[in-house]
Amino acid sequence: MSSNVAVELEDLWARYSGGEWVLKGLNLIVHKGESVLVVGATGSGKTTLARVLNGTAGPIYGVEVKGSYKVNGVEALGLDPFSLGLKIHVVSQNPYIHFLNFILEDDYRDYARKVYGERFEKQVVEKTLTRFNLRELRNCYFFNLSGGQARRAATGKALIPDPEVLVFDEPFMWLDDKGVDEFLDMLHLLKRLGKTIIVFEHRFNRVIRFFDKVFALRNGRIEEADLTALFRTAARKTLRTTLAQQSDRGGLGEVVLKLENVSFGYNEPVLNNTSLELRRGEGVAIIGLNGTGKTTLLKLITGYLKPWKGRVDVKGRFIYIPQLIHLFYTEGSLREEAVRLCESYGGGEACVQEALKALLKEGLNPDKPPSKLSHGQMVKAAVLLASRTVKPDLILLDEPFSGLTYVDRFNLVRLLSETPSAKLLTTSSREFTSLLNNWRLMVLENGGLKPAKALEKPLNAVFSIELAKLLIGVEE
Amino acid sequence: MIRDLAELLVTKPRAKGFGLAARLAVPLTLILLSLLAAIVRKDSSTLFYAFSLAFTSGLIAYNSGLARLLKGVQLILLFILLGLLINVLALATGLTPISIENVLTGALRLSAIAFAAILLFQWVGIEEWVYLFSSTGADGFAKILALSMIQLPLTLRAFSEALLSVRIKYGGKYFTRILNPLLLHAMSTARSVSETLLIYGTPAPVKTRLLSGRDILLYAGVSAIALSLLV
Repeated sequence: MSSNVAVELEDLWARYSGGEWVLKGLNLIVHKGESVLVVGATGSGKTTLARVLNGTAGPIYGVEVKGSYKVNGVEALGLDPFSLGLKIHVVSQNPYIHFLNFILEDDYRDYARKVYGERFEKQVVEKTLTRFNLRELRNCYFFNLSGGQARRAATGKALIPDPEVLVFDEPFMWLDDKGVDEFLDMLHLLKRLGKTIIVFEHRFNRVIRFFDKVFALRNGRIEEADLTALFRTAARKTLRTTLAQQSDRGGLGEVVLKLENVSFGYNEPVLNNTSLELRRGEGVAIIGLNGTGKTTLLKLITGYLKPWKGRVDVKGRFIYIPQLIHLFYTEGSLREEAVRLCESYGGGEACVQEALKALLKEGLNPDKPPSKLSHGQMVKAAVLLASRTVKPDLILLDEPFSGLTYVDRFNLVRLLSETPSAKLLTTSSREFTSLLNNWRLMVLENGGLKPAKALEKPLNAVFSIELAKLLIGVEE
Repeated sequence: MIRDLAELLVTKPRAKGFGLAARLAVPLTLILLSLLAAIVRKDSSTLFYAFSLAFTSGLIAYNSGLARLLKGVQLILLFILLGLLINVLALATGLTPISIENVLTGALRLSAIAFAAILLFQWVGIEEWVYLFSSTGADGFAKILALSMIQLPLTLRAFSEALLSVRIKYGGKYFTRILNPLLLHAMSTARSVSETLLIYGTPAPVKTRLLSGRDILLYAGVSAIALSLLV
C-alpha cells in the first residue's frame, strides 16, 4: 500500500446483532489531503460506516465488523476509540453530544489534558479557540450554543489531538444558511491545514464543488460517481418534471390563525409587533436564521408561551409537529398511533382505516414501530396521521426540512400541498423554498415578519432532487 | 420554565470558592434535616424550612443571579402551588382532615428540599462527582453519573418539547403517553454519549481542595438553621 493513503477500507462488512449486513464488502481509498463527499439515502449505512470509522460500532452498538480498515497503513479494526480518535476523528450528526463538561473551555481542557498532559493543555486549547473563532464562546454552556456554533465547537474539540483525518456525519443537520456558510469556511480552513476530509451528507447542493471526489453509498457498497454524466442526465430529467402545486389562493377558506401586534421576549425582546393571518388551505413558510424567534413564534401560537403584548387567535384544532420528530410518537406502531389519534377525537374505525390507507399509499408499513422509521419517513407519517385522523384546521411544523434528503423534502412538499389544512412551517434555510409554490414566504428578522422571495429558481431545486435520485439510486 | 430550570441545574464557577466538603455537606445536611423534621417534628418546623429556604435562595442567587433564580424555580413553585391548591380545595370541601398549617408546612418543606438539591447540582461539578465515586472504587457508577448529568439540560428541553407536542396531539388526553418518546430519547442519547465517553474518555477526576476558610460561613449558617429546629 502506498504511504500516500490516509484511509483504506477493504472488503468491509458490518451488521447489527442478528440483522442483515448493512455494509457488504465495501472498498474505499482516501488519499492524504483529499476531501471526499459520500452521498447515500437514509438508511444506506452512512452512520454505521461512521461508527466503524470512530471505533464505537462494536463496543457500543454490538456491530459485527469484518474485513480491513487501515488508517495511515495501520490496521484500525479493534483499536480503542480514544486511541483511534488521535488519528481519525468523527464529528457526529448531533454536535451537542461531544461535550462532557458544561463549559466549553473546561471541556476542551479536560480532553487536551488527557492527550498532551497538563504542561501543554492550556497552549493547545488557546490555539484551538483562536483558530476556530471560538474565544467568545469559551465560557458558554455547550447546550446554549446555536447549531452552527456547536458544530464549530465540536470540530474544534475533534482537532485538539491534531488527527490526520476528519470525518463529518451529516454536518448540515440543524444548520441554518449562515451555519452552512460557516461550515464551508471551516472546510476550507481544514483543507489549508492539510487535513484529509470525509463528509457524509445528503444535502450536498452548496458543497459539492468543494470536494475532490464524490462517492455514492448504496446497497452496502461504495462507488465513485461520474459527476459529469450524472449532471447531464439530471438536467435532462429536470426539464421533464412538474412541480407540486399548493391549492390556489382563490379557494382559501376562513381565517384560522390571527396574530395581532404580538410582542414577546425572554431576557430581551424576540418578537416585536408581529402580525400574521392564515386561512384554511393556505401555506406559509417562515424563514429565519437560528435564534431569530421562529420556534418562539410557534410556541406562542400553541399557547405554550403567552405574549407580552398583542393577541394570538387560533380557530379550531391544530397539530404541532416538533423538530425533534421522534418526540411526536407515543405508540408502538403507526397503526396504534392512528387508533389512539382517532380515539382522542372521537373518530371510529373509518377514521383509522382512512389513516392506514394513506400510510400504505405512501409506502409506510402501519405495523412498523415509529422508532424504526427514517427521519424523512417520520415527518411524512406525522403529517399523514395528523391530516387523516384529526383533520386539523392548522398544522404547525417546526423545521420539517432539517435532516431530510432532497427527495424526502420534495415528497413532503407534495404531501403538504395535498392537505386542505392551513400550514405554517419554519425553516432556517432558503434552500428549496422555491419548491413551495403558492406558499407565502415570510422572513423573520429583527423581531418582525416581512414578505420574502425564494433565493433559487425552482428548476435548480428540481435539478438537485434529480441528481440526488441518480446518486443515491432512488427508483422513479 | 423548563429551560430556565435546566440552566439552574449546572455547575457554577462561583461555587469553587468553597471547599468540596462544605459544598457536599451543606445541601445534603439541609435535605436530611428537612426529611428528619418531617418525620420527627411533623408540622412544627415552619421556622426551620423558612430559614433553610432563605439560606439556599440567597446562595443560588449569589451563583446565578436573582432573575435566573426566580425564573428557574417557577416550575417547582408551580407544582407546589398546585399541590397547595388541591389541598385547600379538599379542605374546603371536607375531603381531607389535613389542616391549612400542615398544607403550608408541606409546601415549605418541598421547596426547602428542592432548593437544597439545586444547590448541590450547582456546587459539585461532574469531574468532582467522578473523583468522589472513583476514589471509592465505583468507577462504573461515576461514568453513568457523568453521562446523566451532562445531558440533563438537553433532556429537560426534550421533555418540554414532548410535553407540548403530545398535549396538542391528543387534545390534552393520554398525558402519560409522553413517557414513551422520552424513554426512547433517553436511550438514544445515552448511547450517543457513551460513544463520546469512549472517544474522549470519562471526565478526568479533579481533586479540588476539601476545605476553605470561607466554609465557616456555610457551616455557621447551617448550624443556625438546624438550631431553629429546637425552638
